[in-house]
Amino acid sequence: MIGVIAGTLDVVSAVLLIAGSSLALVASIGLLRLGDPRSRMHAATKPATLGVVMCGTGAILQFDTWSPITKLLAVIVLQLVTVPVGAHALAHAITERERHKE
Amino acid sequence: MIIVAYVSIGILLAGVALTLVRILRPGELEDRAVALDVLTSVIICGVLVWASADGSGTFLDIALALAVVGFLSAVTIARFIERGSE
Repeated sequence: MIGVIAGTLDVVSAVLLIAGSSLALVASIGLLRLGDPRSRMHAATKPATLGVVMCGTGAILQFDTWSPITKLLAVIVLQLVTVPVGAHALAHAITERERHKE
Repeated sequence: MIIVAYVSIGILLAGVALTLVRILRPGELEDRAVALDVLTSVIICGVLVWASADGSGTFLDIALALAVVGFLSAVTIARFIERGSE
């Protein structure tokens, strides 16, 4: 029974790790493919954040002590809080500059 | 599990390469700032993947430090763009 649960957790963790990495790749492809700065910002924030969250969740399932799990949760929460702050500051700056040009 | 880690690291290396192309290609300042943000996220993903394959929590401090300071560059460049337009 324990073995079955551990195997299932391993599979879920592997799927999450691969999916998170693929989302990070999608974010970098979006940076190259999309046309204007705000679209690129969309590609930069949402898939990249979700990629870190999925990689972090997949990594949490690999650990069984509290110390690394706490660090991983801190990484996920910090990423969820700080990425929108940076993106908002950049979008605000772009908007201000465009308004100044007119 | 180690195969999964290698596959993930391969995917992430492709992501790092594409992001570096975006950073090095001539373009606006804000595009490069956005690309630097993505580069930080991709590196955090790579550290998390490697830490999960490694089994010890040693690498997680790197991810923690990157998550704390990663957004500062974007905010700083945003301030710079705003001040530059005045």
